[in-house]
Amino acid sequence: MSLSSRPARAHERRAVVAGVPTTPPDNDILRGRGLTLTQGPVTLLRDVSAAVRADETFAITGPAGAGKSALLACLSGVVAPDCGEVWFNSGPMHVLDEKGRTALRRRHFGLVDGRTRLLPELTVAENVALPLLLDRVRRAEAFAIARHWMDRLDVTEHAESRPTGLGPALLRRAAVARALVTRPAVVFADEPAHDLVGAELDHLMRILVSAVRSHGMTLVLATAHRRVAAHADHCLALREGRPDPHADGW
Amino acid sequence: MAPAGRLRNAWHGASGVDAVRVLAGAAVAGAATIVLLCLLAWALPVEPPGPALLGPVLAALPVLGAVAVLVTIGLRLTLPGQAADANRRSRDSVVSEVAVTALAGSFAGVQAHLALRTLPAAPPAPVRRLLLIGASAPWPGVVAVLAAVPLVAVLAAGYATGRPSTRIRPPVPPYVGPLVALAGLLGQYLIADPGHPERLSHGAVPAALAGYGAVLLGAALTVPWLLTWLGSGWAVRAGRAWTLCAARRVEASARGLTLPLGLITVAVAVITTSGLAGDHTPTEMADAPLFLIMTTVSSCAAAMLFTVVVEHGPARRETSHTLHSIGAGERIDRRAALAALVVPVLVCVPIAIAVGALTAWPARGEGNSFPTIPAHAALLGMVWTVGLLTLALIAAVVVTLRDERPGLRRGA
Repeated sequence: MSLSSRPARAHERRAVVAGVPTTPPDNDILRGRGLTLTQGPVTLLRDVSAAVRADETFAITGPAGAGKSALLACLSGVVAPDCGEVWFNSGPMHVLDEKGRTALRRRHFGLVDGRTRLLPELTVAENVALPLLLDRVRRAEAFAIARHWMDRLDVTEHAESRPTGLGPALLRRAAVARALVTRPAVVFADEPAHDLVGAELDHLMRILVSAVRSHGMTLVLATAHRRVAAHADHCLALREGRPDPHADGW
Repeated sequence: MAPAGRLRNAWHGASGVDAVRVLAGAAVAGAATIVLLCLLAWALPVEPPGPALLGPVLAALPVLGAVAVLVTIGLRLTLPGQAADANRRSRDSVVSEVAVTALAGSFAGVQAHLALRTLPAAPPAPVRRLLLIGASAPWPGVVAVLAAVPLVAVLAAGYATGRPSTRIRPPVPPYVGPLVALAGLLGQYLIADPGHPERLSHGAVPAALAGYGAVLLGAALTVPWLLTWLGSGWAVRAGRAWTLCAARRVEASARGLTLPLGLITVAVAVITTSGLAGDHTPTEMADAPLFLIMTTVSSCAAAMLFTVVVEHGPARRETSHTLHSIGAGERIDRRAALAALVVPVLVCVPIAIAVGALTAWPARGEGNSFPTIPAHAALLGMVWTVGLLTLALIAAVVVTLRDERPGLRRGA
């Protein structure tokens, strides 16, 4: 399978493959092995492994403080683990420096963080188009693609509004549109339905999962919400930074 | 409760009043009162006759300006979380705290001034004259001094606790600033006789001064509107991520920087007018009040600029975190942040110089009625203002770059 749903560029592939260790890759699009992450005196992850198949929806679950966001950050390259390996599409991410991981994230990953606002000074349309502009897509083309995704996620009506003052459901949908606009290989969603309940939560998750599946993307969720995790094909439950053997108790 | 917690509560008190802030506020008020009383003593009509009252009154303005800026900056930097979501009640309590503190500090300042008089060692004559105030002092003057410092502190506290939003359009309609400036310029040019500036009739002097004031006010109001217009115009054409972010930040910061940019505009415009229309005589002590006012205005502007930058640190860190997570390199965020800092100043200073030059033309020549100072003093003022602004910008840039360090971003 190709590196992503978009045509991969030669130099991108080189960036991923450069300095490949000899470990044989497997069929997982994303794989973390023996991940350990500390922040100051706190150990967020202790020897955690995870494997995500292509085109599947994978959920990292657990109570608050379990290490869900930390594992998602390691898998998406936002943070480099202190110890362990991360492989993306048969290429080692753990050998890349900050710049390399940032480039990889820009070209192959989409991120939804339910707790992070959109950039408050930009309009909703500009927020959605921003990842395309980061990838040097022409302005007119970027805004046309952004408009398509805003239509799909039902936020076009507020395209020229600033995020301040908009409702949480609308903000979450705009954040999803921003993550999907580049048609990434993997979409990482950290509490995508944060602050949403009931029908709004179901609506957002339905749109997200159907969009991801229809475009052949992989979705990795980090959530403490059972209703969100219910959309996943596979789950990994964490507790205190370790895989939880008693996941039913969560 | 833990001993450390008990100690902290004993120091800060159950009311949430910060003892350090109270002591610092009282010290500022006391020091300002002492300086104002010295100025009042200097202006007393003693033998030989003292200077005119206007000079000390003008010289008092920088002192009060310094009080306002120190109170504003102190409150804004010590009320990080409260002011962001402050309700009316908590704002009122902070303003009351400042009022009581300033009043107590002013009384202490009067007592300290009286105590200085009774020192056993005889001070030199000029210093002795500054201390000649007490029972024989004009009570309206002392009352004015006692009232002025707390009043200015309360006004500054009211301004500081109602912090500006990051995304609001300027408070006045956009056409007001240019209209006021144009009306002032028109008035000046109609009154002035360019061929014979010395013929300006005495009755026209207040009108000319009002016109000059209108030009300054209009320019100060125009700069934020112009920045908003410039930012939005840039944003709709921006084809790259960093230019889009920079343009929108310039547009968004226009409201937050309204006051410092307005003050910079006024200071640079007055100095430019003075430099072009002022006479080439040596600097004298009589020029000190106007020079002091301009110095204070520019100092206030630079301090406010820096304070706004510090205040917006958390929002900037969050923006940086978001940009980083969606794959923006450090350079993109850094370029946008620096452009958003530098562009407002680059817009403001040339406009102020242009306004100052335009108003200098009818004011040139002997006997002009405008508040000009000798060209040497104006040059010194320009060096001071631009230098201070540059320092404030450098400090702001350092703070901005520090906010974008990966360690801080990770914790955001």
